[in-house]
Amino acid sequence: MARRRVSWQVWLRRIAQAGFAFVFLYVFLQAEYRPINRTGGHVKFFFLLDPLVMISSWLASHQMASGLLLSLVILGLTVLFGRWFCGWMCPFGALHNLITSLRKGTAKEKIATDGYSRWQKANYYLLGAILVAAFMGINLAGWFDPFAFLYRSATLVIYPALNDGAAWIFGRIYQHDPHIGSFKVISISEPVYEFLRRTVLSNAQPYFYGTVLIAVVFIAVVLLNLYRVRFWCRYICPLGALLGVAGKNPLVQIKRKEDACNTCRVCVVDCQGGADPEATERWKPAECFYCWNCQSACPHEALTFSIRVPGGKE
Amino acid sequence: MRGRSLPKRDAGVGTMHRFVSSFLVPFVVFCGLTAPRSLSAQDANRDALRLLVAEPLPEGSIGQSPASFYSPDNLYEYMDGGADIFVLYGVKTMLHLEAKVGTVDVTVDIFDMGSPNAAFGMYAAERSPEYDFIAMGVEGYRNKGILNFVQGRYYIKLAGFGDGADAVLESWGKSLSARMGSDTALPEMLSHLPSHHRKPHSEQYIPNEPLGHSFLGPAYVASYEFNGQESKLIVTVAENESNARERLKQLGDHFSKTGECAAAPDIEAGAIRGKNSFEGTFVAKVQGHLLLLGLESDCRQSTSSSRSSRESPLMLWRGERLSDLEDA
Amino acid sequence: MNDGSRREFLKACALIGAAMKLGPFAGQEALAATTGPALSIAHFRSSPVGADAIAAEARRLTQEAVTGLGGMGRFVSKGDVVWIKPNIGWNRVPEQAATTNPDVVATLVSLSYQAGARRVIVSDNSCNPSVACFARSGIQQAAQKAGAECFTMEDRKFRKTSLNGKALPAWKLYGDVLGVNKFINVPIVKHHGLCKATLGMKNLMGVAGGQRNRFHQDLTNTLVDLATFIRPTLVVMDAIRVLTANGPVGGNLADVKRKDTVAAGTDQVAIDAFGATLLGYKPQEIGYVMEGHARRLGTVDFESLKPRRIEVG
Repeated sequence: MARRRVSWQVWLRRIAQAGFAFVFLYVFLQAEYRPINRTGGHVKFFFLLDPLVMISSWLASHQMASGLLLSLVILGLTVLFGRWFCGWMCPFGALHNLITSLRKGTAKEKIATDGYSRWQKANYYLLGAILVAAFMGINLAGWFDPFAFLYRSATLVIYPALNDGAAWIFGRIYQHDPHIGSFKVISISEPVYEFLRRTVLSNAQPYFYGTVLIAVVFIAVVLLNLYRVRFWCRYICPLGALLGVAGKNPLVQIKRKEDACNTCRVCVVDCQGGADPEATERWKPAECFYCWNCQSACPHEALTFSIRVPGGKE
Repeated sequence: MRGRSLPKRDAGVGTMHRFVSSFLVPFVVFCGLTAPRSLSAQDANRDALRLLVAEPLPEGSIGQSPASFYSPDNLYEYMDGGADIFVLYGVKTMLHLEAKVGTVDVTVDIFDMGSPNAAFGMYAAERSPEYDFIAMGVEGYRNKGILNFVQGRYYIKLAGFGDGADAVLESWGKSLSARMGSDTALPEMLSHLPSHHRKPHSEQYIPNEPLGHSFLGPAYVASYEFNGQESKLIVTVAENESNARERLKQLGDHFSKTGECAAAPDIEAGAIRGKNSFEGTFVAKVQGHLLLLGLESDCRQSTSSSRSSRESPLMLWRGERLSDLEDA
Repeated sequence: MNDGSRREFLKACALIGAAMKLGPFAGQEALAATTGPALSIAHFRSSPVGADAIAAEARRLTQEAVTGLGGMGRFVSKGDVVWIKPNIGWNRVPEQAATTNPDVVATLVSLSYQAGARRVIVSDNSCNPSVACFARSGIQQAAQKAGAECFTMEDRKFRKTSLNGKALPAWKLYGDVLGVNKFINVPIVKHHGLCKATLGMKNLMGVAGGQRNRFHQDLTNTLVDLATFIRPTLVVMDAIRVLTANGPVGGNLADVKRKDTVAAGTDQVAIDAFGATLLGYKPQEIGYVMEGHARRLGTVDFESLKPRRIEVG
């Protein structure tokens, strides 16, 4: 299939995703133990934004940490404008987006799988279970919240694996001490590794028990994106479900030019949220991540998103 | 113009989709729910230790990472050369936690020594009579930036760094002690040792090779001081009386080889006395399943005669029976 | 300098020059044959109180001890890469005398640079978690302030090395150490629960990696094997504060005594023998000291070397 020009809105969305992913990485690295230069507590940033954390902790304890009011902003913005968070801000979503884009398959195959499925109700049930459990004092949100899941996997599995991998590679180079003529490779590899150690890698990597299961689950969740688009986001994520509930009637809605559309259904290909953009009346705002892929893919430029009064006629 | 009706989805895809997702989603949920159990080590000792440092921590301390545990095999990874003596005393498992209170760093090391005897022995091995002692658990001592104490089968070593660290350690010590329960008695045998002229805080419990002799282990040891002369009382716990007599014989053989040894019927039937140049003068006898050994190093005596009638702790002691030891 | 000693000096320089080509730290015998004693002992007459005063004392004693041997120029030459190996083994503050005095280390760094060193590296394979040890001992800060490179060691850099020792045929030693010109061993004098005292030769364990608890199976021979292989260019022994009980870990200030001494020497056995006396031991009581003497690594009779004694303060 010929590579098409991608719309500027999609580029903007990708930049936003990359930006927030970078912020997450930065904040993650700041959490390391450095005895001489202690850094502040910006690690909590993503968790403070998280309305699921806010609601479930309020239900469980009838108290709310003041910082969590930040999450009300997110919730409010979702009510007004829809589930943009999932498409533009969520770093875990960005990861799923990335893996999903590695899928192989024809447009026809994707049309069959990328559209809305009734299984997308599953995460709403999970959200319900989590809120009920929270009310009973059991914290399940910590297991299924996307930030918690990502942070836990990163801390216990990915980061240690990265450190080990880097140490192994640079260790092998150091031990073999290869030469190219009279030039020693380690005169480059060692400074590079030192730089990585000082910036990104860990100085003293602790090891954890029970990480095999976390690794398996994380890898499974990530690989499921090859099976269905943004598997976690569509079928599991309770935060997404919460935002979906909040974003049922947003001000920003999809708009299809009926006379331009020939129902080729290419807009369904790579639809992130499974919101069925192919027919305006069937479009599911609660599932739409506002990724703009549909608008970008439409060969007739029949789709766009615009502000409209919900429920009102065009 | 209304859109054409949308084609139905391919049935084959739907079935597979249904099967896989009906398996995968519950699987993931199941994994998520069972994951917590697999994270914790199953060892009962470790669980008990974990309870000691469960939230809330004293003074609002914040643990810098989850508590780590060390077994006798890998304790050296934390303490290198310092680990050997703990292993010798039979450490079962050890909890290590770094915490922070404001600007104070706290290091919490709790050694599960397996038994109150071993815990006391390990504590006593590191203590010196001139330390600054405090009433905590069975006993404890403190100094700038450290607080160590023993209680039940645990030997606790706390280290603090920063302004106000000592007060934080005190708080930690009290909290741990309260969580450990009320087992604050010294090993029972020690209360049977003669108390007059005993050097305070000199008691020890040595399970292996007291004074370098395996036939003397395990033993309770206390130091005595009288008229400027120091001596030690070593009470070896044998399996039974004949084993105690066997050990007495080994002791006698050792001194015969390295110095002199003779029967001391004036003390008691079966008692012996003797001396050698590097260990000093001794008197020994058997009482029930115990071997009692009194040892005086010779540094100050100008006459090293063991038959001297000078008053010395050994001579003072020799006539006594250690009270109530038959059933100990 | 008269003509006779100048000739001797030049001859010694040639010897040292030849020895350099043999490999790292080699030429100790040549150095020992040069002008200057094999052992110098600097002692502070008073026992200053207060962090600044003790820091000044440490700097002064270190300088005097090294000067007493003939100055750092005798050991470090222009362009050298110097490895300074203090005891950074334990998560303790300097007052607890479990780690080398940071001002002693910093002074040696400065002296090395003054003698023309191109690079000075300060590091140790800590026993407790290393990041904490490097910080709390004050050594990382002091060393970096003096301009040295001071970073924790990395597992990936230990190289299996043939030692051909009695107890240790081979062991993993830190790769970077094997690549430098000069090695200065800077131990602190401490009681040790297993081997009575930890001094210079025991301090060399900080160059080794792997499962070091295996050393304890035959510590005497292992330490001498290590010391024979790594013949330090210079040993500077910190005895300003010594740990008299519950070593090597320590912690209790009541176990720390002030000896206000810094010794420097080229004979590993002799300087260890001297260090043992500061703890109240007879050198003959320390197994690895006697083994080192037996293997002619040095002499246990340190007085026979006519140590230069310097009283200061």
